[in-house]
Amino acid sequence: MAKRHKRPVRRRSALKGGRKRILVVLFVPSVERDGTTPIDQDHWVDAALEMFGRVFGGATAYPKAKGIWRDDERNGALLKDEPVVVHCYTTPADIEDSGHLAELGRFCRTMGRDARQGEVGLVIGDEYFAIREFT
Amino acid sequence: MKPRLDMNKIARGLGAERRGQVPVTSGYFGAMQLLADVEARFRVPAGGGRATDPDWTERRLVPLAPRTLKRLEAITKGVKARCGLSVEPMQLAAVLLEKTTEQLSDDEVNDLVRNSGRRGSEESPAIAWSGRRLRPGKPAGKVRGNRTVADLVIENRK
Repeated sequence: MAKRHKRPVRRRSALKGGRKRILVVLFVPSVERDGTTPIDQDHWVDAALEMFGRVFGGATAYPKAKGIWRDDERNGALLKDEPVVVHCYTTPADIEDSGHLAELGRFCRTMGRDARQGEVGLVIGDEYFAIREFT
Repeated sequence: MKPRLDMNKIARGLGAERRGQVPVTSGYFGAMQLLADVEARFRVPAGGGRATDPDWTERRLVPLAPRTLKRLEAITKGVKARCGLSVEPMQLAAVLLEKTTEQLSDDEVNDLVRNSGRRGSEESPAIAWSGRRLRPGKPAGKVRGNRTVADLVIENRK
């Protein structure tokens, strides 16, 4: 008797379609670009979560991290900051959507301008994007 | 499989500059590691101005001898063990390349050109052949059937 081979069942890849697999990370600073004047960080974290929720369907803000760095351009002055990192998972289609990108960019520019930043940092996928023009 | 994103389109849509790649992992520790990496590499001086990390926007293939790569790996391992700083061997290579090219004086460049001998501008600087007749090489493998290695290569390309 001929051996019957089971035909492999073709399963739909779990990663195909709308599965969220692109990580977007936004850094919400704690101080202005002078390194000393505190900003209303809670407000910006809430605003970022609200924006990510509305545009991409959700986000998580991690507790503050404490950081320090030496500013060699100012005689090695030590500057402390406590940024909050906001994580948002989305789909490739959603992150490449021009409307979504425009909204995300608008939020970053508003935060950069109102919180007097030198730069607003975003990581999308595994690439770092810097927004420095806030007008 | 890693999804391919059009990073230039994303940068345009955001009105942002692409600055470089960072290792991204999920969860709290992933976030903290990413934060440390970004702060170390991409931070902007408090007074504004240029970020301390060089803009590594250009990517080129750099030929290396295996021993050079091994040496780079050994150095980066040492750096990680001593300071906990995670640096990729080719990131270290990029830093060394930058430092060396910045330190290279015009005289040293002239010396390099002089030492390259009789090679003219039309000739490749990488290979100099004496003109000696080369001996035919022994084939490393045997192709089954009537097809030649060239046929297989062309078929693969298609």
